[in-house]
Amino acid sequence: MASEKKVVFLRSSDGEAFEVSEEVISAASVTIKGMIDEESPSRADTAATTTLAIPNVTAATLSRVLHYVNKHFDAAAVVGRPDDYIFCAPGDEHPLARFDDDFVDVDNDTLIDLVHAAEYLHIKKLFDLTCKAVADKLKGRTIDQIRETFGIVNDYTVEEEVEVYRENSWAF
Amino acid sequence: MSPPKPCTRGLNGRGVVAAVAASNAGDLPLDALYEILLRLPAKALCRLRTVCRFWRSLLSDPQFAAARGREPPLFIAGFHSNASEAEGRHDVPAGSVANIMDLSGHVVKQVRMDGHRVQSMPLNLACVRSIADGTCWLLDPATYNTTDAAAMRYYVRDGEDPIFCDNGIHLFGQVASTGEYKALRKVTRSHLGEYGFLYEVCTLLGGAGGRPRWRAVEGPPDTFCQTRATGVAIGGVVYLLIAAVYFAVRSKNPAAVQRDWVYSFDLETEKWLPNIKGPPQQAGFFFIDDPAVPPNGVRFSLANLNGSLVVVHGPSPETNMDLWFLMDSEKSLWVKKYSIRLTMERLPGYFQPLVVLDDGRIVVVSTCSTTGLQSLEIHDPRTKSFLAVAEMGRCCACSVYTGNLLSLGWWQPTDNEVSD
Repeated sequence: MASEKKVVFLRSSDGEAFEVSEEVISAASVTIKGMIDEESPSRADTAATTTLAIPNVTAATLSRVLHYVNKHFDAAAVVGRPDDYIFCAPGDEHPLARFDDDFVDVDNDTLIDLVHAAEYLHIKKLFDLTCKAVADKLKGRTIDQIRETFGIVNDYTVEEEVEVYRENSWAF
Repeated sequence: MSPPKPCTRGLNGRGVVAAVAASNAGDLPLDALYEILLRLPAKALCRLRTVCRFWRSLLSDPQFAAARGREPPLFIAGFHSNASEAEGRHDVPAGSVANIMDLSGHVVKQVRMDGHRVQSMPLNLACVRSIADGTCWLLDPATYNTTDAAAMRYYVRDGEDPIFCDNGIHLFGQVASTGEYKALRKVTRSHLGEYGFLYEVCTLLGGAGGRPRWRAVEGPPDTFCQTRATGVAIGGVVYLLIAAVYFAVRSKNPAAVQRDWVYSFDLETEKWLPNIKGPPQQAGFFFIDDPAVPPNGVRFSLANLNGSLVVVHGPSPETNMDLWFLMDSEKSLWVKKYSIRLTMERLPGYFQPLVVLDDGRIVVVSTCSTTGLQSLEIHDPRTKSFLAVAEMGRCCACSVYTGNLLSLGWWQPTDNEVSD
């Protein structure tokens, strides 16, 4: 029953705590499942709730991640089973496809923060989704815009740059 | 300038590449950057090589290319460059060029082969013949360049080889168990006043010293020598259309159609395999005599489509161009997977199917009967339409190129283009 479900608190880098079902977050995040498993012996028969520090993720990003996790991994909230979409033919609308599209329709910095968080928390579905979204964004950008997006310095010499452009000129 | 040292190891073990990456990896963790780039098409990745040195080395890394998995196919087409003859230019040597292009017709890489004529494009390689003395080689167009001409070169025949084989066929295959390239050819000895044909087989040796040693093998009498697309090699097996069947189909002789259709020769054991029977007799296997179909127009031929042996039947004014795929050679089980309708005005052309795409569309090279010009087209069986992808002019050989786009290396402009 829902009332008996255990919850854990996740504390973001800037100190905000978020409540989430232990079952749901364990199914979603390999990293947090590992933390909970480590904690387990000490809290076996206590009623105390656990608070886990997530030092790499800000409150703004963590709340987005938990929104995603609750949509995708809470069996009660999902229409059908969470993995149903793998049986869909390409083009079929997955129940959460629209949610996913909206979820990654954010500015670059937010999206890259989500990639970081998904990687750190080891949430494969979210990592795949956000990587795909970044890849899609890259397609329509100029080289300068891409450098700006990722904070990359152009370290080519003038001669090297001419050469690398010539080598790959067919792709422009 | 020496290119930046490629990072070839341990892309998932961040420690190894961290030193390289730390200088200029940008905001993203390497694993994430790697995953993001894996999701981009190859052409976009070539463009992204210009972002910075680290991205260039990552995106030129064979391991990265391998991690990306299946790609849409590329195509390779050989052309004779006749600038020296046609324009009276003597600064451009006669020879051939090979263009490797993508599905949208963009030339990804062009390789000049001065002094050589491209004969065929088997196995992602180019079979070229020296204009000077007739010596033939197999070259790898991905690695070939004029300054290091000995690299990846297999002797096919010596120039002084007395056997008359310029009008014969050479079919090249790769033996799966050993990885060796082998060839089967059919030659005549008419220059010696002898009649008949001779089949010979040879293991191709790499490097400049690997002279070919052709060995005679017994072979069937009724195969074709010159007619194109009547012989095809798939993996380590060579298939030859039986001439009697070809003529039976053309002359509407039903009795002859129900027999063996294809000879097959195993390059590994150098033995002939049991013949492959044709599909059960169908009403559609006959052509009407129509002046629109030129007498030498190939309307019954063999093709290698995605590793399957395919009989191409038609088109004729009364029949579609049907593609019969061999599903089981022991049982001689054939399935007609495509039946392509062509408009009357295009009927006299020649259509060579090259590859079936993942979505079921099929790429063909069409040759216009009046101009002789060729183009690369994609046929969509759902809409029954053709999409012209690239004009190819008069190419002398065209096939699928399954090499990896990211591993192709330098783009080499020709002199002709530089002068423009």
